[in-house]
Amino acid sequence: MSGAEMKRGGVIAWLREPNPHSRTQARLGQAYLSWLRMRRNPLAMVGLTIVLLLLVMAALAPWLAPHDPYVQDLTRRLLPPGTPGHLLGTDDFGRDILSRIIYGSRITLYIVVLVAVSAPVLGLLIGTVSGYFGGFVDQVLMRITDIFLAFPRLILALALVAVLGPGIENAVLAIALTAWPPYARVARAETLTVRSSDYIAAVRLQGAGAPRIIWGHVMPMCLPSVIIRVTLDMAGVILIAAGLGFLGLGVQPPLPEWGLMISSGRKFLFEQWWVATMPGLAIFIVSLGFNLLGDGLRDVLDPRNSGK
Amino acid sequence: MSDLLTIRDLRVTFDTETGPVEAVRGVSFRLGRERLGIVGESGSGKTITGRSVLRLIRPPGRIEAAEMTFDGIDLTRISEREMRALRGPRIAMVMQDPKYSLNPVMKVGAQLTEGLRLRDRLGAAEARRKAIEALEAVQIRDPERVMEAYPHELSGGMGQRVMIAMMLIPNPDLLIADEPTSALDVTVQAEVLSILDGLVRDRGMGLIFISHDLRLVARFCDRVLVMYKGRIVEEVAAGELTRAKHPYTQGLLNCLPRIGGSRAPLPGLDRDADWARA
Amino acid sequence: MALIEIENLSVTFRSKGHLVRAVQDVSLSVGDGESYGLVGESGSGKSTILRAICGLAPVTGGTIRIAGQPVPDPRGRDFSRQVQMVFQDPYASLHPRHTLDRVLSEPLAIHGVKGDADRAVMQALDDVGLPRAFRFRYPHQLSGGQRQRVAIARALMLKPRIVLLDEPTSALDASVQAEVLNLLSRLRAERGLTFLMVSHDLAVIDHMCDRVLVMQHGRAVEELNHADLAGAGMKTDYARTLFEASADRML
Repeated sequence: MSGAEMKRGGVIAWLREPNPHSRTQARLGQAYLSWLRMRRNPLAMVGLTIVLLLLVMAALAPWLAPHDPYVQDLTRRLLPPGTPGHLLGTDDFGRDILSRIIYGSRITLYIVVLVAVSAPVLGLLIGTVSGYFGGFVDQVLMRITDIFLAFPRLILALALVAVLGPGIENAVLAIALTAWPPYARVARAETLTVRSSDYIAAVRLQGAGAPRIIWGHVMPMCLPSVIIRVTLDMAGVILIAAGLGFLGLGVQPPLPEWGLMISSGRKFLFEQWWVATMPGLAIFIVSLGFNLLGDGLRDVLDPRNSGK
Repeated sequence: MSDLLTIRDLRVTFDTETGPVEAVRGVSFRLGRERLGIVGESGSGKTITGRSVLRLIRPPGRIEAAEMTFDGIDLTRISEREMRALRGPRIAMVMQDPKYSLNPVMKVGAQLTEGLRLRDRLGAAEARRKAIEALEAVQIRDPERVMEAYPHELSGGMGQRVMIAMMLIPNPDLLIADEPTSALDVTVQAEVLSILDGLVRDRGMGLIFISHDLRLVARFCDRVLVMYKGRIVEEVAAGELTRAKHPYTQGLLNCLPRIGGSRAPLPGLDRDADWARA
Repeated sequence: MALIEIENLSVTFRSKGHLVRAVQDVSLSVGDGESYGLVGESGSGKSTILRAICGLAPVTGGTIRIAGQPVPDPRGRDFSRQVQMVFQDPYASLHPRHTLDRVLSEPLAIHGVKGDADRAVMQALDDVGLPRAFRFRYPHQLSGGQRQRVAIARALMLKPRIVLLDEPTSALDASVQAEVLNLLSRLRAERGLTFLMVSHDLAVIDHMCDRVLVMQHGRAVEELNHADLAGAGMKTDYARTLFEASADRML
C-alpha cells in the first residue's frame, strides 16, 4: 500500500469510527455516511456534477471564456454555431455567445446564492415560530404568509421591481420576498409534528425556554426539508430571474444574464435560432442539475431515512 | 406426517452502505400441520424469517436458501406472479398492529368482501354473508355494525380480530402470525389468542407464531424455535421449556419479573458468553 | 410527609369536538423515597397523570402539590430541578440529531450549573453503565436499552428528588427490561429517589413498587400495597381480572 493510500485509509477509518472522540469527528462521520448514501444515487451525482461545473465555470470565467463578453464586432454578427473561434456562434452585436454564457453563470450564481441565503432563513424563522407557539401567533403569521402566497410569484416580483426600479439587487430582493412563504409552510408543518414529540417534551421539562427549543431542537429537524425545497426551487429562481431579465426588469444590458440573452435573441428566433437557444439550454441544464441534486438530497437528508 | 413447509439454510442479507449485514444466518426447520413458535428478541431475525417465507423482503434485502418448499412448491423458483397467487389463499399473515394493516379509508366490510368478490367471483350478497360468518368465527358479537365501521372506529382487540377473520376467509394452509397480540392489552390478549388457537386447531392449518414472549409461545404452540442474532440456538417442545438447556433460552425465561417474586436484581443475559459472540 | 400529593385531579381535553375525560377525580399521595405504581390498560389515563404533573396535559380540576407546595404554572426551572421524567419510547425521547454529549450537557447549560460539564457528562455515563466512548455517538447508533439508559441519565442530570417513569421498559426486550429495571432500582437506592411509575405490566409494577393504584377508564379503581398484590388480595373485580390476565402468563 502506498503512503497516500495509507493516509486515505486512515482518514476513512477516522470518519467511520463508531466512537468519535469529539463533536467535530461525530459530525464529519455523519456527513461521510450521508455522502456514501448519496454516492449510490447516480442521478443525484449527475446533478451534483452539473452544479459543481457551474461553480467552476463561474470562478474561472476570465480564463475559460475565449472572448471578452462585452466587445462588439458588427462585422461578425449572427454567426452560426461551429464558426471557427465562436463555438456557439455570435449574437446581433457580434459578441461571442459562449463567452457570454460563461460570464453569465456568475450572475446566475450571484442571484441564486443571494436568494438561497435570504428567503429560506426568513421562511424557516417564521415557520418554526408560528408552528411552535401556535394559537394567535400562528394565526397572524400564517395569514401574512397566505397573503404572499395568494399572488402569482412572477406578478408579485414584477410589482416589487416596478416599485424598486430595475436592477440585479432589486430583482434578488423581489425574488426573495416572493420565495419565503413556501419555506414557512414547510417549516411550520415540520414543526407541528416535532412539537408534540417526546424529545421536545423532555427538554421543556428541563426548563428550556422557547428560543432555545426553537433554535436548538426544532430548527435542526426542519432544516433538511427546507434545504431540499431550496435546491428544488433553485431552478424556479433561475427561471424567474431569467423571466425578469427577459421582461427587461431584472439585470440590465449589456450584462450577460441568460434571461436577458434569450430576450434579445427573440427577434431572430426563426432565422438565427442559436442566439436564444444557447442561453436557454444553459438555463435548462442548470435547472436540471439543481433538481436532480435536490431529489438526491431528499433521500440523504430526510430524517426519516437517517438511522441504520 | 407430511411436511407443509421445509426450509433449509435460509439466509437473508441486507446490503447497506457500511457493507452487507446478514439478518438471518442459516435457519432450517420443517413444519407440518402444527403450531410452531419462533421466539427471539428484537434483531434476532424472527420477523424476517417469517416474511421470507412469503418472499416479502424488499431490496436491498436478498433471500437465499438451499431449500424453501411449501407443499411441494419450490418458493425460491416460482415467479412473482405465482407467489402472489400463494399469498393470501394458501399462506396468510397477521401482523402486529391492525392499525397499519387495515386500509384506513375503506369500511371493514368492503375490505373483507374485496378478496371474495375479486378472487372467488362471488356476488355481493354471497360475499357479505361469508364475511359476516368470518366475523362471527372470531367472536365479534355484532358483525353487521363492524362491517359498516372504519378501522379507526374499532378498538385494538377488535381490529386484530377483523385482521384474523380477513386472513382466514380463503382458508389458507399456513398462517404466519407476527406478534399478533403484542399491541393489545393483557385482558384482550388472552381472548384473541384463544380465538386464533381454536380456528387453527379446527381447520387443521399450519401456524408459525412469531413472538418475543417465550412464555406466551410456550403456552400456545407445540414446538418452539429460539432465535438469537439470525440463528436458531435451540429447538424445544413447548412442554419441556423449563428444561431448556441453552443459556439464552434460560436467560429469556428468568429475566421477567413475576408477581410475588423476589425483589432481588433480575438475572440478566450474559452477552459476552461464547454462544452469543459467534 | 407526602412528597407528591394529588387531590381530585381531573384532566379533560377537547379532541375533534369531543370532550375527552382522560382522568376523573383521582387522588393519591406518594411519600418521600417511596416507589408508587400506576397500572391500567390503554386509555386508563395513567400516563396522563404523569403528563399533568409535568404540565404537559391541562389540569382541569383538583390540585397537585410537590413537597407541600402547589405546582406553579408554567412549571418553571425550580420544578425541573425537583421532578424529571423518563418517557416510554426511547426511540422518540432523544433528539435524533444531538449527540449524547449534547443531550446530557444541555440540562446543565439551561440551568447555568457551574463546574466541569465534561466531568459531569462522563460521570453520568458511568452511573447508568454506558461506556465513556459513547459520548459523541448519536441515538441511532445505540440500541433501545442503551437509549433508555441515556434518557435515565438525562433525567438525573439535575439531581431531582422525584422521577416520573412512563412505561420505561415496555418498548424494550425482556432481557434489556431486566437490566433497565435493575438500574432503576439501584439508582433509587443510591440516591433516595422517589418514583412514580406507570406500567401496563402488573409484574413490572409488582417488582418495582411499594404501593400501586389500579386505574380504568380514567378513574382510580383500587389501591393495593405490595403484600395485597402478591397475595392476590384485591377487592374489586377489575383489579382481579387484570391480575389474572397477567398471572396467566406465568408457567
